Amino acid sequence: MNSASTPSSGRTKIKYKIHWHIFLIHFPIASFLGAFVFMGLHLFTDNNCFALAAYVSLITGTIVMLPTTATGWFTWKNRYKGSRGDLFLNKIRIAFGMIALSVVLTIFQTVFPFDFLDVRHSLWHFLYMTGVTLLMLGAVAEGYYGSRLHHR
Amino acid sequence: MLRNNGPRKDLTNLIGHLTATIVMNEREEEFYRRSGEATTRDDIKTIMLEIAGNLAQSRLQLEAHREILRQALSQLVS
Repeated sequence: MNSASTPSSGRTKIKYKIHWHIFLIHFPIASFLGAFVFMGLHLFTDNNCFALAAYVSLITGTIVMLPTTATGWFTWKNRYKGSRGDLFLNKIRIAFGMIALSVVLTIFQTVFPFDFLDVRHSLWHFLYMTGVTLLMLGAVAEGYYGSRLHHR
Repeated sequence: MLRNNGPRKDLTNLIGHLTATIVMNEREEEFYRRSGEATTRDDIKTIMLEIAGNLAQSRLQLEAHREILRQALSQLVS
C-alpha cells in the first residue's frame, strides 16, 4: 500500500495568534462608557444603585487601563518601532491622561463616597461628573484612533 | 488628505501610516506562514506558504518606500 500522503489528504490548520492590545482595549471602552451611562441614569432617576454601578464600572475601567496601556506600549515599541506619527502620539497622550484621571476619580469616590451626585451644588461633584465624561470621551477617541490605524 | 502642518509633520505622519500598513502586512504574512507550516495537506500548504511569500515581497517593497521617505525626512530636518 502506498503510504505517501496524497495532495488532497491531511488537514488544513489555521493558527490564530491573539492580539492582546486589541483584545484588552474593549474593556476600558465598555467600562468607562458604562460608568458614564450609569452616572447619567443616577442623575436622571436619583437612584443610588446607579451611582454604585458607575463606581464599580469606574474601578473596573481603571484596573483594565493598566494592561491595555502596557500592551499598547509594547506593540508600539516593537511592532511599530516607536513611530512618532500624530496618530500614535495622540493615543499615548490620551491613554496616560485617562490612567491619571481614572485613578484620581476612583480615589475621590472611595475617600468621599456619595449616595447622591449633587452636580448643581457641589463643585467637587460637578468636577467628578466632568471627569467621568472626559474618560468616556477619551475611550471614544482611543477607539477612533485605533480604527484609523487599521482602516483608512 | 494630510493637513498642512508643515512638510516635516506631513512626512512623519505619512511614515507612521506606512509603518501601520507594513505591520498589518507582516501580521498577515506571519499568519499564513504559521498556518501553512502547521497544515498537513500538501496542496493547501503550498498555497498558504506562497501567499506568505507574496506578502513578504510586498512588505519588502513597502519597507523600501519607507526608507526613501525617511531619507527625505532626514534631509528636511538637517
